[in-house]
Amino acid sequence: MKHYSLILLAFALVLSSCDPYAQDEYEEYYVVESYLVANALLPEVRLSTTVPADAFYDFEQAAINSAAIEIQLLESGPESAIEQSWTYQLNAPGIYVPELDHNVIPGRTYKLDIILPETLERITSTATVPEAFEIIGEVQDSITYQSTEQLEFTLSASSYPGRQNIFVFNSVSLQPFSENLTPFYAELIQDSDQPEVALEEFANNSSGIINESGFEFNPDGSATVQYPWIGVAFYEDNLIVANTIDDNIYDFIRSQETQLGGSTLSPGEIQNIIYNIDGGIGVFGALASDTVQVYIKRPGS
Amino acid sequence: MHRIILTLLGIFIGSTVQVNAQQKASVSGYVTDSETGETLISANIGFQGTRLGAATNTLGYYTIPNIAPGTYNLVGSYLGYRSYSQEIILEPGENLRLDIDLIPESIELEEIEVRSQAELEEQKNIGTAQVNTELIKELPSVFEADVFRSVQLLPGVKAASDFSSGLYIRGGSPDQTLILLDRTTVYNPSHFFGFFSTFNPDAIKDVRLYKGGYPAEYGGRLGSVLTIYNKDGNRKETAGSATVGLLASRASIEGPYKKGSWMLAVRRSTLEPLLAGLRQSVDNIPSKFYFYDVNGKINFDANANNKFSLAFYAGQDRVTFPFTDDAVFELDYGNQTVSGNWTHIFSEKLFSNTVVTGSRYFNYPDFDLAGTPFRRENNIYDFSLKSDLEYLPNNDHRLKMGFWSGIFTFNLNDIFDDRTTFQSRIQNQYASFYVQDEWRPSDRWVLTPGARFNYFSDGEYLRIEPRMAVEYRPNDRIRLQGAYGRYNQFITLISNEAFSGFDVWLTSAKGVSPAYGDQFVIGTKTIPFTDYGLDIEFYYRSMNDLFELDPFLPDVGGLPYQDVFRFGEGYAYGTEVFFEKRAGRFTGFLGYTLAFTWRKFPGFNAEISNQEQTARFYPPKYDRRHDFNVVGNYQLSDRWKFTTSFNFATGQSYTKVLGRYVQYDLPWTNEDRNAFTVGKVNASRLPNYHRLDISFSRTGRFFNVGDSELQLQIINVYSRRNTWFYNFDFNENPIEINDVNMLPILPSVSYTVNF
Repeated sequence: MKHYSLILLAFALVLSSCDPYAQDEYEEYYVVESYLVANALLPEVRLSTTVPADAFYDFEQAAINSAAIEIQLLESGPESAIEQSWTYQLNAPGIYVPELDHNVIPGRTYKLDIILPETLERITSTATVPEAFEIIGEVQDSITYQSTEQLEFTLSASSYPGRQNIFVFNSVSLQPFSENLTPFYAELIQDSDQPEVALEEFANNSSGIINESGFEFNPDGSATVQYPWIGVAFYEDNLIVANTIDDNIYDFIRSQETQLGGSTLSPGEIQNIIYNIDGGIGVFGALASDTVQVYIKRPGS
Repeated sequence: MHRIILTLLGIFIGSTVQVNAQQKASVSGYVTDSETGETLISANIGFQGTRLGAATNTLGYYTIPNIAPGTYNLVGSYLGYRSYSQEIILEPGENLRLDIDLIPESIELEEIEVRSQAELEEQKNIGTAQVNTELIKELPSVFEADVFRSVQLLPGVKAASDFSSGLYIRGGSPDQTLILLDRTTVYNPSHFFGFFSTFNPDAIKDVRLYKGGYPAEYGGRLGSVLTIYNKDGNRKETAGSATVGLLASRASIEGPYKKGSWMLAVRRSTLEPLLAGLRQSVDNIPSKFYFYDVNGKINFDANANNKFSLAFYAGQDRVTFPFTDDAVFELDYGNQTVSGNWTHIFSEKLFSNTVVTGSRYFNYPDFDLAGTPFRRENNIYDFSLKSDLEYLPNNDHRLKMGFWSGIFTFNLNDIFDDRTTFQSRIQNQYASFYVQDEWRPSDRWVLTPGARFNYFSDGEYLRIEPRMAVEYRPNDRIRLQGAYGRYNQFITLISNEAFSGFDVWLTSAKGVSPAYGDQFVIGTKTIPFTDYGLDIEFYYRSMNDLFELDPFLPDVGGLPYQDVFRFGEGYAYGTEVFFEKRAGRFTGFLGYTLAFTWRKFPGFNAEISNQEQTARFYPPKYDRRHDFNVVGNYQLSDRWKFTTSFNFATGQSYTKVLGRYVQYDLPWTNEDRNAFTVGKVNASRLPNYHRLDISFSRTGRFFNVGDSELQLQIINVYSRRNTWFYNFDFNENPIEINDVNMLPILPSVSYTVNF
């Protein structure tokens, strides 16, 4: 008995004394945020750093204000030569804007190129803009909330290299007042600790990521979408926006949303977001979108 | 493969001829409980003063062949039963059929009688543990006696949390354990969304866990096997019991009939009055919640050599939860199994068991949010035919062979806003064949070589699994054991440790290879003192081609089947110590586990600056370095019994967040997105876990109806607020990190009447 105990104790001590998997220390990273929208003007670029998780977060304090930033249009894909470039200038702490206007071209690849003069560190990322699409045909300009006839619209054919289109829909309320909330969202606001923040968030209410395979396709390649009532947070005027996103945004969103659970990962099993940026983290993404306006009538009105 | 089968058949036939020529005698029969007629599994039968002996198989049948004619004292023993002894005279060539009734030992006995030589050599194979069904009822449990919660106390078995009855065995996730109820696979054995298991302790008679290195007669899972057998039903008299508890109540009845026995056990939650009361004062209480399960079995003893049984199980959970006036969540999930069993004794040396099984698992979650319905229809049907042959040509060999073949159908439909967004119907045929021999070349050695051949139709996968177990007995009190096995798994579970109600199984297929792994186990089983046992085991296991749902896919619609998964690998190793006091007024055990579990998936746990190229092994959340359990059971007096369990475990691993930032400009939302940076996944540890539970039970009489038992239990006696995980409050700046705790102190009471 004594021998067993000693052997066991020795074994336990040997195995538990060495920790080959020690906890890492905090490391600071440069954080980028910018979204190219097809046929829209070049976007602003945010540049900042991370802060320790237990520290007070203030974007302006974390902002990087001395970077040299360019967005470059590449000739034929991520590894190709630069066709044209646009220099950015600091507009507000950590926020850079292009010096010249340019409409983002659908289907083309852009590169974000950031140099930090003090350290000569470089941050780069490329994004391929999805092909533009349109909401085509007739769309109801008003509809009664939760009536059997749903808001329906048709998206023209679109494409993204190497995969099906991935969409995110959102509805933007033009009268985002609490008295205009639909019943479900009104109850959520009632239960919220911060109703004002929640009201602002519901004013731009998004669907989450949806693969286009779930749509009903027409013979001409267009897809018919019935907009679900859960997407409507406010009565009266709403902009319904369909967005198709690139890989950079897709990777960012799908991994960011699992950091706080909701997936098959165990609670607390957090992993880093999937980034497509060299020299930093964040997202330099691209999307194409189109918008319709609809008036949501109250039931019985 | 044909050559191997022919060779084995040759061994069968050759051995038979040899034994017949010697005109030896044999003894065989069933071993049963004298009071109920229940067959006893792994009871020991032997001849005093010799090493001739055998253990009953899972049907309660034993055979001792190849005995020289003469006069012997046959002894039988089984833990908790009085030793059996009878003098028998065997004539040359006689095949004595001797069914044995063992008498349950009265609990008043302070010391167990001196046991036979055969019992000292109790059949305990490497990696195997048996859970006493009485102990399951006696252990302090959260509201309801639970098989899985009891199994979780064994070394090598871990629980994910107080809220989960899932079995994490030797580094394996719950889907790596094959769960068989009366030889039928059960796919989601949980009630209350995973809080406890579906098996009604009143209905079962045997629970056996093969933690690792399990023999060739089982297959289909990488890690382990849990076999549960329902009671056959009392063959002597009609009897029953009724238990009223806080969460659920249950009743069972069993009895004989002219040609056999029957058993019926039902259990149902009794939460409705509590929920109705809560709804008066608390928001967000389900408008409907209940679960039930029904177990039944009928046995037909056609004659001495043929027995038939039909067993069924049905269990279901239903909840309706209207969390706003315009939003409701409903969930309906459960399992149904049926098995028809035929046991046939060809001769004293050849025994067969054939079973036809059917198993269904279903879940139907249904959300209706603001007029937008989302519904999932998930059904699994598994129909199979399984047959096992057991052949004892002589005392040196116990040959087993058999097959298991079936059709597995998987249906999954996701319907969003009345449109099908995902639809899958997969039908697979599977087949396996095994052969194994328990060979005793000498008194000291037992070798159990075996092989299992598996076929899975989707992808045309054919896998061969060698198995080997070796045992050396330097003396009567020590066994040195080792085992190796290759294991394959063709299915994977999509689940979440916090909630099992949405569980979905997916299968390997073309482009999705089955997972496989090797297991190596060495250990010793000793009897340091009479009625004590000390077991130590060391294990190492690999896990390759693990396939599981990619957790970073928000929508799998339109993706090729293989793109739905991520593929990884893992390994686990550790040691387990089990010290047990088996008999007397005080019984109990002490278990300790030192364990290491690692997994790796491409891109997961990668360095932040090099995500494409690197991935590192990480410990899953359920990895615990040290796990220590004590279970004690003390008969205080004729009427009072005290039972306690204490668990201390290293805190589970979790990922410490190191840095943070905010994304402000996502075009489709006004929400600022908080994002974390982390280092290695799960490199930190939650605070250590410990919990003490106690139970007092008092037996008595319930008027003149029957014996009664009152159980008073306290879970988490000193109300340790063990941490489940950390939650982040982004409304605060800096972020506030809060503990999400597990169970506080919980009293429980139940009352049982046996009639």
